[in-house]
Amino acid sequence: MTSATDIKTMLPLTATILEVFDETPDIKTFRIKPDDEQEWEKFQNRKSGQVAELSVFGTGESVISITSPPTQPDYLEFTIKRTGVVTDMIHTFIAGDKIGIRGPYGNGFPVDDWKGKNLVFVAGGFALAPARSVLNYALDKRDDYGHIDLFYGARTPGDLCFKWEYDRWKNEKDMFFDVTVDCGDDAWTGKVGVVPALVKDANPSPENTIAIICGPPIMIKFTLQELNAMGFQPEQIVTTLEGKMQCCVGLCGRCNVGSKFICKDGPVFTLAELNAINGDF
Amino acid sequence: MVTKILPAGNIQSWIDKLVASYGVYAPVEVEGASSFKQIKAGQAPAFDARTDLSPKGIIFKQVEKILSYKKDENGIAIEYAPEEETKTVIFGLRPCDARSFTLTDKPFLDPVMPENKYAERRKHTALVTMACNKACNTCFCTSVGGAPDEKVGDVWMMNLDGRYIVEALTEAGEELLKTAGSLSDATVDDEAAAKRIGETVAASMEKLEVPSAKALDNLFTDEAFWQNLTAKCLSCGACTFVCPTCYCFDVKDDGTVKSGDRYRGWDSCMFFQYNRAAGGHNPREFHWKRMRQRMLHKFSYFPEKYGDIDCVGCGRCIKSCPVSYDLRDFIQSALRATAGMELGFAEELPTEDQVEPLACDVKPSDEIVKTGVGSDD
Repeated sequence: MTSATDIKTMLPLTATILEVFDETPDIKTFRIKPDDEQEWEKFQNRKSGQVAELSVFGTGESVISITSPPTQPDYLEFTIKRTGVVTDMIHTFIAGDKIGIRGPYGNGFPVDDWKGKNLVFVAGGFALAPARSVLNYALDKRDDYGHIDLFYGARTPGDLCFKWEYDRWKNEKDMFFDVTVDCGDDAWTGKVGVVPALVKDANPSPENTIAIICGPPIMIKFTLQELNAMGFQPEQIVTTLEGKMQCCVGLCGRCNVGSKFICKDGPVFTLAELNAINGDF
Repeated sequence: MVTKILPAGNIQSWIDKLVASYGVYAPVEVEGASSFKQIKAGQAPAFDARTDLSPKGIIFKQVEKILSYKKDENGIAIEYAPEEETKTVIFGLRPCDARSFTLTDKPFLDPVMPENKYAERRKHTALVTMACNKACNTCFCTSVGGAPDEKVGDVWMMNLDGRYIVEALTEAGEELLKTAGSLSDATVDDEAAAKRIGETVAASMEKLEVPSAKALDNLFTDEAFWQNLTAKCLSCGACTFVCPTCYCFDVKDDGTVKSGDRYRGWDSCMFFQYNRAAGGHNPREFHWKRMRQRMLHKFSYFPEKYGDIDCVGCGRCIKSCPVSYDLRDFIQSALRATAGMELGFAEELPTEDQVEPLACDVKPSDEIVKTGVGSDD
């Protein structure tokens, strides 16, 4: 078997799917562990926000963000929406199945620079996945970080991801968690409205704070307006980008915004960095 | 290193010697199109002009197997396709093509994450560069940092009326020259002659001023500029396939869930599918955005990262374009646009005496004018 010691460009190694569960009708979370010890060690030394390239042999590869924090000792979690041919195939997999994996790739969140700061997370839909990695990392290293806010929303109650985490997030000390949906249903007793409105109501202070925004473009656009009004500077606002990727090592040429490759120089960028880039988003 | 003279008539015997111990690729004409093919002993290469296709595929293969996979009850066995270690010589490539490899080296031989397939084949391939004795009407190497007599590759040579002036530029080049038979030292006159040829050929090309990487990046937001520039483009991708420096690729699986192979193959940024993500989002859905990506990658992003323009001025994209898009038009109109000058695009077609001819406008030779051949009436 090929091992991580003689790793080659774009060569995946096998991993085992340990557990699969539904988040929403078209989103599943997969718990995966690389079979090779060294490969697993490589993944354990990753940073929050890094991504992995998952292989379904015979179909292709797909870049997925690792939503579990590096502090999780047993597996990697990937929250995957059925969108294309590869994710369609991944959704047919069950515990015990084998999948190809290579990575971790990308820059990740600069969590060490954020020590002692307050963190404001704003997320929409299943874009909570990359933010959740750094959120849970900060919760696992609770004393290193200040107050944590999480504003989360989805279109309908059925589209909310990570419901099994809500109790923990609600009860964490020094953490505020608020959730909303665009459209409620008969069973929904929570808030109805858009995510930027949650942020506006809570009015987090920009003092010694980093805002991490992951969501659809429309949510990001209006959230930025709110944060701007509160006095957040572009250097304090961080997001992750995504795009079509094939190699994930900065060679195949397609995921660039300006001279930056999302796979290699990203996917984490501050708003200040993005403002300086002329690129196709 | 010292220049030597390969006597007239000795070049074929040298090539034959090389064929005995290396895989030798040289310009060969097949059905009217010239490209680099592996030659046999005794086969004379067609050295007279720049080939229609670049030698890029010898090192950066058009289709490259990455791995094979096989699934059984024990799991999936992944087998990496081993690198080829055949010692190879690319003989008689032009300085522009030799230069293209030094440019592609920059991303592919990244010190942290080199691309194994490219790196391995590059290590085993020596370049014998043939300097140019004439320029095509599409050549513009001097505008993008090259020269028709640039000393690049492992061996440099130039035709001096049947004799060749040769120089080993690397240790690998010295090895190759050892098989060339008896070489005499080049005289001062020979070197002067070679220098003169280089200068004459360089002077026959117009040297264009290329806007800086930063200035071009600022042009990004001028959508009208890019739309005008791309108006006639068909997004066929021919330019990117003949380009010696284009290196975008796609990765595809060929097989079933049980067994098959994974390949890496040349791709083109001019294709609609190139940037289309699962779910349908396409940041470059219009052909002018893809053209902007191609131009800015070559003239802004790559220079910003690596210091050199990712174009060698071979002019193949100009020759192969079905709608006669000329890269030199881009350079010139971009220069005007970045300098805040009036653009070269006109809403109405101007008459001939209203426009200044661009450098790329091939002037009809006197003979053609005289006989009327090629005129529209």
